[in-house]
Amino acid sequence: MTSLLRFPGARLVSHAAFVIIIWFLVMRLNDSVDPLANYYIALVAMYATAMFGMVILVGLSGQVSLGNGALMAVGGYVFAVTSLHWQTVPILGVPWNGWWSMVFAAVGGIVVGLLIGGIAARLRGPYLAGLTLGLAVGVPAIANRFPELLGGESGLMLTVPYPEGGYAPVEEEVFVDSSADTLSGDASTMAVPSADAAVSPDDMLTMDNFPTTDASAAVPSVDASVIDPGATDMSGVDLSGTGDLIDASFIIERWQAGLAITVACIAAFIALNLVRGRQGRVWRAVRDDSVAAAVAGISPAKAKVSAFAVSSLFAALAGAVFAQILSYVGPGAFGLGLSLSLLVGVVLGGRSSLLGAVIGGLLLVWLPEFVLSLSEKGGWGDQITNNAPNLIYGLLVVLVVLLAPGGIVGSVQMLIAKVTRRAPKGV
Amino acid sequence: MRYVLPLTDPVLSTRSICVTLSGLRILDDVSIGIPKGTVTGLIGPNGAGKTTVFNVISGFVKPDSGEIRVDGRKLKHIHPHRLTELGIARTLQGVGLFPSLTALENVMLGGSSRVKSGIIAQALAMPWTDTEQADLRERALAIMTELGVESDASRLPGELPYPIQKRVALARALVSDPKILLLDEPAGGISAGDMADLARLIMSWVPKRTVLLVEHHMELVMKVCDLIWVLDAGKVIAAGTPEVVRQDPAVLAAYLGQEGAA
Ligand SMILES: Nc1ncnc2c1ncn2[C@@H]1O[C@H](COP(=O)(O)OP(=O)(O)O)[C@@H](O)[C@H]1O
Ligand SMILES: [Mg+2]
Repeated sequence: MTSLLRFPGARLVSHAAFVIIIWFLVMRLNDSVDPLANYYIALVAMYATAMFGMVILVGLSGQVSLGNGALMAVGGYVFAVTSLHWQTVPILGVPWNGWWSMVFAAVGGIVVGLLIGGIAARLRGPYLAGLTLGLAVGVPAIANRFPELLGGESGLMLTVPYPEGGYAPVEEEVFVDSSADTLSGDASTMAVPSADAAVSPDDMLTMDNFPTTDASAAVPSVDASVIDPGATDMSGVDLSGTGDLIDASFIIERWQAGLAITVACIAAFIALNLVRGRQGRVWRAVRDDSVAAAVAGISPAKAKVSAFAVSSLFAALAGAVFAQILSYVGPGAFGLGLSLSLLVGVVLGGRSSLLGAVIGGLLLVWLPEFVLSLSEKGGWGDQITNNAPNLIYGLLVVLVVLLAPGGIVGSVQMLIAKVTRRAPKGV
Repeated sequence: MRYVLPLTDPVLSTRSICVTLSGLRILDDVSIGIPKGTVTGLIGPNGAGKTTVFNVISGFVKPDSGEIRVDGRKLKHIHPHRLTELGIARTLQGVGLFPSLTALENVMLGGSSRVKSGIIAQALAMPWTDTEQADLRERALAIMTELGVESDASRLPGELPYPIQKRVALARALVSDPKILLLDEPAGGISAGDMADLARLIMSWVPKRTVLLVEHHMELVMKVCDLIWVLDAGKVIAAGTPEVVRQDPAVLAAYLGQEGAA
């Protein structure tokens, strides 16, 4: 792809064209499917966004992260808090909107990524895993420390899309009281974890709910009622009182998916530019041999920190999108399960390929649903159904690591290389 | 006894370098100078501390005491990755190529200090980043052609024979256009024919570049070096022209000692 065009700006043009075509096609697809499919598309796009960052961090720069779910939490919470509390853009003074919250989430992600990356660059394998694991567990718990601002265990409700004219000033508290029981019947039908779907930190540690945490948090019950369009325009439209501002044909899931697709495409554009250019070579060089990289004039520390910052940027963007898919942020939504499923997705899809990130995203969304459908056919108990995806993930990861370390994309590349007798190019 | 030659303005010199690693004195008061535009040899039996001298010069190992001077200026805080900015490039003992990058990509990375655009420009694929990389690519290919490895440009290092890998590694060091080139056993594991090529190549770089050569193959060293420093057990034991060093009893003893031990 790159070797065909050789003029200044060739990468810009070819990557932009490629991403715009993909964006156009997926948006068309998004417009032609039912709301449940919209919802799945949104999740896949959201996961893909986060996993572009995982490919860069884990695959290219060779740093293990068990904590990118926590970096998503940073994006999600920055999005939620800024959209709930800020009526105007600082300095500029123009009215706030959801896109500003996205920008701040991105900036927050980069800042946190630089901080963590700075520490991570000094750590090796197991210590880095430990640090990022600590993040995965610790960051969501911060919400409990600041219940006033961050909504505690029960999280913060959002109006999605960002209400026209903004949220009411902070005095009229938007977030829900710390006990989940106070959720009104109306609110519990929203795309918010209901009391029983909410995951306690203990559960997350034992990973009983991994990785269905996310799916169950997003769709309280994946049964026929969700497919019914009548039940689907549930996501806070009524609660906010802005329902009458939105015309009847507006499908919230479609809008959410459109947002997720757009953000994923922007992330893909940036990721392609980096990965298929000098920066990708720099990351791989440092991963391969940091002494040789230094000799070549590359700062290994800087390369590692930059990989963290970029991956954190993507995680934060994905987190902001996730907040809007759920119309909610809460510690349960960004738990350890999410962090681990990102790692699972990137290992299965192929950790050195951006396409692998997308395939990993598809797998993460499809597999739990597939297991659920099996369970319905087989009449399994809840206990089995809830844990089967974890078991399958575990088995798949072990199999992939042992038999096909390149993941799905890596294996296909190897096959093609065998057939054409050429070196696998990667990415 | 200390060997200090009356060198007029060496382009690179070490002054009384002492290094202790894991409680062992690896370098003991090492002072060597490399005159501008020469090929200077650094020889000595295995474990003498030659690679450690390179590591001190390139900032991987911090000496307990002593200093490094380039063009008479003392270097403070040497960062390995900033060495090429000072006009110094080195090769690693062995090969040290990046296995997942093609030969050309490996060589291009050697010119990292020439890349001015930052990560934001890269992330947005600004057109000048393409120009920059295209220039680097051209330079890299030119040097690979000079070393006769241009036909292997798109190969991964693992697919190349060892001598070719060594040449690619050499090309990676050359692409930054260094004034001073530190070569750590460039002839290790290569054939006699390749060694003759290497000798010709090294001699073709001077006097434009200055070369510090660590090598075991005495023929090569004696053929190409203008001046030789001999290191044994972390100490400089002899220095001089190849003729002088060849006949120095201390040098003979050091090498005989090694053969006896082996
Ligand atoms: N990191 C280290 N810790 C302890 N000893 C080391 C270290 N690096 C090298 N050495 C020792 O220092 C001595 C000199 O090594 P080196 O400079 O590689 O020798 P040469 O390149 O001359 O063969 C050897 O005895 C080696 O074992
Ligand atoms: Mg050595």
